[in-house]
Amino acid sequence: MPAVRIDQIQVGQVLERPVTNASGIVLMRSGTALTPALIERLRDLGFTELPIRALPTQGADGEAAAVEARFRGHEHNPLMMQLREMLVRRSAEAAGG
Amino acid sequence: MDSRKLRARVERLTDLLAAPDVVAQVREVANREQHSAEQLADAIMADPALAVRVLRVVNSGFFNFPQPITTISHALVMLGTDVVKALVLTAPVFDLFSRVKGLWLHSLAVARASGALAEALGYRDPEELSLAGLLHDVGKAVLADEAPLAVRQVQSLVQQQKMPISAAEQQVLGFTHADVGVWLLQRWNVPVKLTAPVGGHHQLSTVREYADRAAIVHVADVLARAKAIGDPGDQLLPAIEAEAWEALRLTMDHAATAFDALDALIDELAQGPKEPVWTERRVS
Repeated sequence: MPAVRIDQIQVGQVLERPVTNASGIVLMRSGTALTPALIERLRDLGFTELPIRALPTQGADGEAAAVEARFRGHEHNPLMMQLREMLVRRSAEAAGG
Repeated sequence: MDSRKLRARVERLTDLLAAPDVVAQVREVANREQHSAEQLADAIMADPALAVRVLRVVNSGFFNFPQPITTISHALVMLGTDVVKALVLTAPVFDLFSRVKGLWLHSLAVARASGALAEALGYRDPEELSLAGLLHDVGKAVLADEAPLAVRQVQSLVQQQKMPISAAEQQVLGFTHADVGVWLLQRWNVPVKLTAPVGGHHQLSTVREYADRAAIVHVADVLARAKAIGDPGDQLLPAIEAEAWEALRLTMDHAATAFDALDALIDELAQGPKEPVWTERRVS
């Protein structure tokens, strides 16, 4: 959950929450792995710190971890587990394709 | 706060927000046994400011149309008269959404997922489900405006006790945002097929009419939360009610269609905010 100062962010670190502008519009999705260009653009927009996942993870793995955290408590609900698997699979496919 | 007192405040607010003459005029035309889309469009455009507001909502991204809709006549063709009429009635309330961070985005997501599910299920009027999804949490916007102190208490219960927002509202206020949404929309004579999902999306067992539509918005709400788009006010993912899933005969293919719609929304939003499109010449 930590907000990390933008000049201390390392390439490949992953956003824990979406980055939004003042009116709540998503500029970058949660789970985005930051590249030098993306960090630069957010800096240009005036961001001084960003929500970074505590453990540096990469792309699909990070997204999968976030999905699993969201579905915590539903482990005994077969329908919810099917939805969770679908989301994890889709994020892996999106990262691969 | 006493429930009756707040209800009276909500109703006063609805009266303050309403654009009386034009709305009455639109309703009068719409109630005529035979009315043309053209007459209805004329009645709406008698108030250009209202026409602009309606088009702004139409083009805010809650319907999945690739091209912007620039005239009321165009909106009537694409969305149907019921949706446009409901937008005329509810236009003033959309200004309130900006008071609650992330609520508009959550509402957009639920609108898109509701529309996608309705389309996949073969509904003839998926746009009506999109609008129901867009309005499902309108009560949260109204509460933020009318009862800010109570809303702060609700927020601290949500954060400290990890309580779902509805349960926290029930404890603090004695009613929920779903109740407030229905009070508002009923006061404006929005049809039951749109108010039922607003009132019942957390409590499907209480819905008598249009239970299928409430079930669709309930499922869409869970799917939008599962994708973490916007902020619904708490970070707890509710389970989909098994009866709703079965009554609608939903499958994982339907869920995949809804997730496709949500991914498309995320991509659109990443490309920049959706600007309302309107030119004076084309509306008048």
